[in-house]
Amino acid sequence: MAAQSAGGGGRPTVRTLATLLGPAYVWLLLTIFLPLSAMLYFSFLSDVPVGAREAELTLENYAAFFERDFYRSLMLRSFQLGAVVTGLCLLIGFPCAYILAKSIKGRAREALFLLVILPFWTNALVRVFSWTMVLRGNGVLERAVNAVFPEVGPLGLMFTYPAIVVGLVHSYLPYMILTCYVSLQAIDDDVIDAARALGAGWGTILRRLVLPLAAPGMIAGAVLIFVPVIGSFMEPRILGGTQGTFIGTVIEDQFTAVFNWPLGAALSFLMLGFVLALFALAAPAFRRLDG
Amino acid sequence: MAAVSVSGVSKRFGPVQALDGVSLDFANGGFFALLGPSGCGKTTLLRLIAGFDAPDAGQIGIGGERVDGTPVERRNVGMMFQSYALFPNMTVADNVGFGLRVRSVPWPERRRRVGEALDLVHLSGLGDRRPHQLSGGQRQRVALARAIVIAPRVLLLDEPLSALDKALRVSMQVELRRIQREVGITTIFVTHDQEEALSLSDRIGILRDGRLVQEGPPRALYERPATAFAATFLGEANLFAGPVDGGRISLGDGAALCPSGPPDPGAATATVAVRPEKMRVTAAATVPETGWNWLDAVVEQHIFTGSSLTYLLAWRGGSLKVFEQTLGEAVAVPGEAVRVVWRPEHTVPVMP
Ligand SMILES: Nc1ncnc2c1ncn2[C@@H]1O[C@H](COP(=O)(O)OP(=O)(O)O)[C@@H](O)[C@H]1O
Ligand SMILES: [Mg+2]
Repeated sequence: MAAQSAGGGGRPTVRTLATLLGPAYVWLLLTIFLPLSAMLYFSFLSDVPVGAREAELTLENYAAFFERDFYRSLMLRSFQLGAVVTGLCLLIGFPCAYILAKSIKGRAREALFLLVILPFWTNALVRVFSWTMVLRGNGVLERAVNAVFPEVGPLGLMFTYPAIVVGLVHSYLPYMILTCYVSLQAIDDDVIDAARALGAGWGTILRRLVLPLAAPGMIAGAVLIFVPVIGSFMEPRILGGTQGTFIGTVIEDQFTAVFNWPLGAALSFLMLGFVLALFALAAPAFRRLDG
Repeated sequence: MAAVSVSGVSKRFGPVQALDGVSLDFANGGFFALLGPSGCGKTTLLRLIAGFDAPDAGQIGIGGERVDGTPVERRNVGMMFQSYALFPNMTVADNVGFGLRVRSVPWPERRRRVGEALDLVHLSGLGDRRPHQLSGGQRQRVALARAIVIAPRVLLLDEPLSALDKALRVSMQVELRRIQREVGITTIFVTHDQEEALSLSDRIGILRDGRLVQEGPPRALYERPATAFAATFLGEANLFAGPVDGGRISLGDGAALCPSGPPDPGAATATVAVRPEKMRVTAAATVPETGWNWLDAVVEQHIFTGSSLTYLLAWRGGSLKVFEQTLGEAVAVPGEAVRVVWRPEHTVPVMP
């Protein structure tokens, strides 16, 4: 309907459509589809096809995942990490976004917004390394805590699972705050006042109005965070040390250290498959939340 | 007994004195219009009665009890917002039933009462729609049904009709009055539209800059405005000011107006207001009936509007307005000198 009513009547011709959309599709083809196809092809090869090495088509790389507990438990561990980080980002980010959107007005809001997006402007590697300064033994945090409570002693945070979670939450929290902020901002204050006048307490308003209306933002934030976190390798490696083995770090190893691209590619596609399967399972719930 | 009483209420927002010592009683079952220009504190007063904010000074009573400490959730007031504020994630029926659900009204009764409320606003059959699938007028009815289904002690309406176009607004005014009569609920209606206030309400309160200017039945307010502002905001008025001389207001050059009542005895000068439809344009040098007020002016323009004729007259560098019914009589033409006459009882002394 919209297309028909657009312009001076009549549908846009195939030619105008092709001219307008063509560049975008060529760009998609070049930057996403081609490399992805190449990777998919690699994932079915027995070896990296460079130089004199012989490579043949095989399912071995995929079979390796299902045969070896190691990869399966790593995949599970990565999904768990994704869930924990996403959950924490929701728990911290949603209230922050609510306060930004509904309680703070004017200049103070602008200043706080700047603080939220400031991490985006720093290099990710620098961000992670600055966490090592904070978390390491005799680091900023340990000294501060011991200055107040001398009996606490060493915290032993560095190279642990919590250290990875802290680093990842810090990196990805802004996504959650921004997406939640946008959807909370769209809720008319009068709507909340109307609910109060009808006798609803804060619990009811949160459950029946704010959460359902903010759901699209929360879902968008969760997806934006969950997917990169399960594939992350930098934070686990730098902050996790020996605890930092995840599917993302293993995949990275295949490409950079072990030089087993086919296995790395196969693991990547398996991860993508599991993510898509998870979203497909969650879709009905998302739709209901979306209202 | 007054359903709602407001006494000496003040409210300040930073540098802005939004309300300044407002006292008003709202009679049980009445339809009260709060009228005033934009920014005069109408919404603020409504929100204080509803309980969204607390007054800085003064008291608010609903149904004879003071409600100062009662939060909005427990005041049991029906509020309708200018933006309608429907819940976008719920169906029409769920919107209307929200207040009952919060009150834990059991499902069969809830369904019955929601059905009745939708019938009342002529929306039965649309219960499954979403707000975004409704027209502006329908949304408004949903908002009204949602506010009255909880049987509130008072219905508060904040400029509910201002977002509608003219034709819809008039039909909604009739509807609103019908529904209010049927339900018999005390209603406080905020508007900046004087016509709406005159045609809908039993009583009108005029607010200006956070103060109550005057309060009373529409007819009384119209015929006996207390201030020049009330006279010009509610309807139109010609204002005359001059020194008081022997109970008359002197306009200079020997002309003087006889007011409807004695002007303030202590005051040296007085202001009177005369409604344009109370004046009559006659030929120059016509001898007015005994005791009538008169003055000589020159026609600047006459504007024919169907049932009536508006004269714009030049008088001493200012201009006067006179409405006359079109009875087919001779019409004064622009440039013609005329004499304007009117009865002394239509010459109302007002505070300047
Ligand atoms: N929450 C608020 N914060 C600051 N100023 C306000 C607030 N609410 C109202 N005001 C000010 O109080 C005055 C009266 O406002 P309002 O009651 O909304 O007027 P009306 O509804 O008659 O147009 C205005 O000057 C407005 O700017
Ligand atoms: Mg207002």
